Amino acid sequence: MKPVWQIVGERPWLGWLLFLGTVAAVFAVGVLSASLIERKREGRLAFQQSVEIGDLESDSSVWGRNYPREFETWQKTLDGSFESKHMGSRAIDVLALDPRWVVLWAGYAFSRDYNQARGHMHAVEDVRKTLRTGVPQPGTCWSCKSSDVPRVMNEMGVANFYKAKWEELGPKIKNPIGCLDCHDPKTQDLRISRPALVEAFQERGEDIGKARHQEMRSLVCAQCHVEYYFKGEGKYLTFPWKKGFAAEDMEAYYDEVGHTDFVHALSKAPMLKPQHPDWELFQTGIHAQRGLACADCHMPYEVEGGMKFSSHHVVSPLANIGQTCAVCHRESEDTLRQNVYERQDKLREMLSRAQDALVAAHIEAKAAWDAGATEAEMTPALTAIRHAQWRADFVAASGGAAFHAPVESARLVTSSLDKAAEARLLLARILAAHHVTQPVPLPDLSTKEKAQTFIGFDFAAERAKKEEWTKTVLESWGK
Amino acid sequence: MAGAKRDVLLFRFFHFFVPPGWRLPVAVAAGVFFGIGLAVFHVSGGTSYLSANSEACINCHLMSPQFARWSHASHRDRATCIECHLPQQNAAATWMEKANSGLRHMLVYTLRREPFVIRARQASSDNIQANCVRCHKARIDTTHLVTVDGDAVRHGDGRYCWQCHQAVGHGKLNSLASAPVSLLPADYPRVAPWLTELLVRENQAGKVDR
Repeated sequence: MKPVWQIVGERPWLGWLLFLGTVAAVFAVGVLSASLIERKREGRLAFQQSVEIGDLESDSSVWGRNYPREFETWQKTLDGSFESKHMGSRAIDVLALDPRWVVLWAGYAFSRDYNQARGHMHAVEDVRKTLRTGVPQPGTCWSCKSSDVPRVMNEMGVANFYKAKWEELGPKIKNPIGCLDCHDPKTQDLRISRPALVEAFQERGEDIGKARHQEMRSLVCAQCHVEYYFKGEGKYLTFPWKKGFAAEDMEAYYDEVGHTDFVHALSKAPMLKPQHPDWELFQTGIHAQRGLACADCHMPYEVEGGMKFSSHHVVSPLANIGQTCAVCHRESEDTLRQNVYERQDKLREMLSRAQDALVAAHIEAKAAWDAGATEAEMTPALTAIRHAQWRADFVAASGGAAFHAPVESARLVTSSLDKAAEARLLLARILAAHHVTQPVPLPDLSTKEKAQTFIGFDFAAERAKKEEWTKTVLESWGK
Repeated sequence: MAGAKRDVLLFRFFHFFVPPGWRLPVAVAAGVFFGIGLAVFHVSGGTSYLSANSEACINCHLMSPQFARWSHASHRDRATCIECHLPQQNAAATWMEKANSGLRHMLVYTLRREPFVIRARQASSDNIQANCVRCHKARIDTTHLVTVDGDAVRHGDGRYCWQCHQAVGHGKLNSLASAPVSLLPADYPRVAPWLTELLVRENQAGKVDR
């Protein structure tokens, strides 16, 4: 056959056909390529932001202009109307509800004032109001309370932020917890904004950068809903996870580094105070083991018309059983609610026994000191008290413990009872050695007032002092 | 010229079509053409379609609501997109349908004719129904639901599984807007970049009593 170009030479129209055909083919391929690139870009820009959100934008209402549904549900955390049998969103004075805690924390700020934590938007307000900030505190106290913290940390440096005085940083901290604490302003990806969690992982030789997205839905909460302490003179916020996440592991770590949160005013025991080990306890429960994250129950999906988004009204899942429990569990709302209350009731019953034992232990220890016991005699008993209260408080401090990890919580309470019994046995012998053979009388702790009077704390006077402070110092911080 | 048989054929092919003196420009032009073709293949994620990964389905951002809902539903760790949506009785059926529906999707998407609410076509529904039965056969055998297929549904002899079990796959909300801020599983930085830098600076400066 003749070569094509010879054929075309004889029949030029063929050549034109070939040329135009090729043009059409290349054009189609090029246009297809352009369309592909355009649609990919569209995927990235599918959401047009109406306002530009700065990298450290702490005012959540600015974010709210781009994400009104998330912002408006977030604002619902101001609402204090939800009540469950034991908790809810309302302001609950825990010391009034159970005055035994006043004695158990005697000598520490928690015996002055302790309210059940409520909605995230109340964070700054509640830190300012509590009598726990009526004693000098470091800047570290602000770490978990405000979306202003990333900016201020960035300006001052992390160590300097912690070292500063709480009152000094006060004027800089205005906004409550908000969008910046968990999200990237440009992409809304979840991201960690607080150093302590990153450093805790590093200390354990783990890289938080490898976390799966589902794990991130718990880890952004774990920036704050974890046990912590202020390490050293610099009051550096540290999570005691080096030896592990179990209560015993943290206790071993604290014992090793020789950390004590406070010396008990009555028993002189070197005490540890756990704070909300929510994430650590949750990990041990069946729901975490089945792959759930905090957000699955506390920020369930909400449907508004045809749109589905994560509700940012972080609240008890009992406020919305249909969207939380019922997504997986096919029982009636009433049944599910009763299931939760049953676990809470039973854990409280166990915990109450531990609390009684601990109150008695502290008071008996005081009696022993009064009877002339020496430090050498008392040390083993005081150590037992330290460990016993650590375990009971570990469970009590995590509001959701009864539901998140009922078995682990029960285990810790029995361990606490065990150690409290050990302490009291030792104290009974010490008392006997010092000729005290009758049971040590326990005070009347039926109200918060009586309990605080017993430990020598004048609540009314302190509240008045705080009112003064509110009118003077807080006013000077401006709006 | 001497060479392998294939080389000679290619050479003769080239000579057949291209006059002398034109060979260099044509070679270059052909290169451009094939280059664009390869670019199109690459940009479209062409190789991903040869795999069984669900991520291939979200090369088109339209599918991200479905992907997002699936990844939070019960079948997230149990069934990938194609395990439900493509016939699985043999490889030929799978690949034929993959090519068929894939090319149709590509056409609709390129021409921007996607509907706001994407619904399965009849053939597609039949495929999905068959896959429900395929995995859950043992459990539904006793109630004879194994015999429910597309034809049965259309004759009123049963319903598609998902008409009751609506939340199982990717739920009932089918509009493009149903998951407006659904994340594509990109490798996003878990820690805020300014925080990473800040910690590096603090380490360098020598922290106080860490």
